[in-house]
Amino acid sequence: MLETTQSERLGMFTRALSGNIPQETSADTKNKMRVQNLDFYYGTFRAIADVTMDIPEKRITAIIGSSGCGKSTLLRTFNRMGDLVGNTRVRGSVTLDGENIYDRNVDVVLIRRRIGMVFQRPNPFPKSIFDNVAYGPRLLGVGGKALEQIVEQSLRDAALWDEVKDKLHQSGLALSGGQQQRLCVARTIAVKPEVILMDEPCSALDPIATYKIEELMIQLQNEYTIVIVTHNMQQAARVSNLTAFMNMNPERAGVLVEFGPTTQLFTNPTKKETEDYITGRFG
Amino acid sequence: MMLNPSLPKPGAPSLGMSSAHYARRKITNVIMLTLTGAATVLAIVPLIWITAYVTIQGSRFLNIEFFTQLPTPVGVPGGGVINAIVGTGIVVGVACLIAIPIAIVGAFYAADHPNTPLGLAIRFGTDVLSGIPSIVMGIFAYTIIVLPQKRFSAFSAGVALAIIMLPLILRTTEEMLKLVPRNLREGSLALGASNWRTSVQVLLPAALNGVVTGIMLAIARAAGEAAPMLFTAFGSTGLVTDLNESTATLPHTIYIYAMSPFKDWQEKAWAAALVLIALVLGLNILARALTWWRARQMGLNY
Repeated sequence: MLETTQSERLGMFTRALSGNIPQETSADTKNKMRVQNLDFYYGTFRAIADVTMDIPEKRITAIIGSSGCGKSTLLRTFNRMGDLVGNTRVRGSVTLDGENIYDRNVDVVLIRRRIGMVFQRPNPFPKSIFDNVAYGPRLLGVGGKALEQIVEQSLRDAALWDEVKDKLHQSGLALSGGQQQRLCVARTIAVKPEVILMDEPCSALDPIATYKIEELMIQLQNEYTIVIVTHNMQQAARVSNLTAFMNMNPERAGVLVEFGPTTQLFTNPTKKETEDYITGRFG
Repeated sequence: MMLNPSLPKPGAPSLGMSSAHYARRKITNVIMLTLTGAATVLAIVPLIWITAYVTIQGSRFLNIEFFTQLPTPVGVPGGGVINAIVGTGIVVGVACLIAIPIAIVGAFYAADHPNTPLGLAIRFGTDVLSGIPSIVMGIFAYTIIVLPQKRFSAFSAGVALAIIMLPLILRTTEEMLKLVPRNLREGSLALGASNWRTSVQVLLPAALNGVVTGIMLAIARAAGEAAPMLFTAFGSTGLVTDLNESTATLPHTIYIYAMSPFKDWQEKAWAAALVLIALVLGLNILARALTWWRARQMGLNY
């Protein structure tokens, strides 16, 4: 890595990009979510400054950027996970199908049912594999045969069924890290959300498990809108249709530098900052 | 500070340290080690001493009758304390039914809202409550239940013990809930579960081992309380299962028998003390075994 030149590194992304999912622009798809002039404050500290972006339906949108630039914080505003930390404040709006999720009369529980999340570290509940996946549907009152079908289908969709079908009643914590993360994906899709947010879902996984999750994401984008935060630029290049590059402004607030089709962002970035980042001059 | 990576020769003064300083350091170390060791032994001695002494004294007078018979008058041989064993069970059972639900629900609130006025009040209140002498709880239950009802009762004793157990269970549960990794809670909320569902279905099961241990410690503490019983359960020579009747309890029986001038009652006090210790110990072991087994099932071996 020490000796790679800028053109070699760009070539690397181009190879990652080629032969992958269609890279058409978002012109012909509907916007599932819109983020408008979003500011996020921890107390008086502004962690996110004036982010505006449209997230197209049934596409994978990646958010990249250096550590601490607010990628995860931004992602967590999309399903109001940021609310869980005390003393935080949001300005601007995030809409889902035109409805502002920060509206006073919006029920945050219902929002989170429509916008699911997969976390950085696999976090299966200390329950059986079956109960982990059944957790969400049970909240909605599903039981019996229907529940079994949902669990099986979700595990199949998460490419985990064949590995666990004989041990559904063993603890979810007994699985390997990669399997646990796929279990968390299965758990998320069992409630049929419209959007799935993924917060560095592969950062705690080995390359093979990472590959499986990436395959899974490409499968899932036929049905779900996916937003993924990743540290790994090659991963963004491999899986996403659109990429957003975030950086810190001089006040250490996260800003959106550039947002566009992944191919364009990696091969022909319009901003100098983006080019510096993806060619490894900083970050 | 050793700058040289090679080990110093034993006994040799190292860089910048005079041999007198070195010797003094070694002596200080030996003295401190001896002191801490002695303190540890001193701390364990009373436990072993009490347990051994009660076992030796009590086991001499233990027999089947002791667990199955009602007490006999002074001088009449035989007899047991079945009334006190049953009474303790009933009183502690009532206390658990009152204290556990309130304590756990309160702990959820305190763990969830640590810096709100009510959350702070819960924490401060329970800390103060756990410092209040148990005899005060007895007088309290006497004033609010025994006096209006004009009768001593197992129920009033249960209330007194519940107040003793409440802060113990609440604080341990709160601490255990706080130890549950935050990402488990987020995982549940991200699936569209309410705070309440998350608490009951994810946090409580994950914290259950610690919660059960807290409950057991509280039961052990409450089951051994004699002072509040003087004002509430009052004691009885018959087998009582009615919550509105006064009843015998083990600690109270031990108190009465041990204070009596009669040798056979004093012997029974030793035996009753052994039963009480064994009961508490047995409960603890049972709870530990159950939670250990459950943790293994769930792959939760912390």
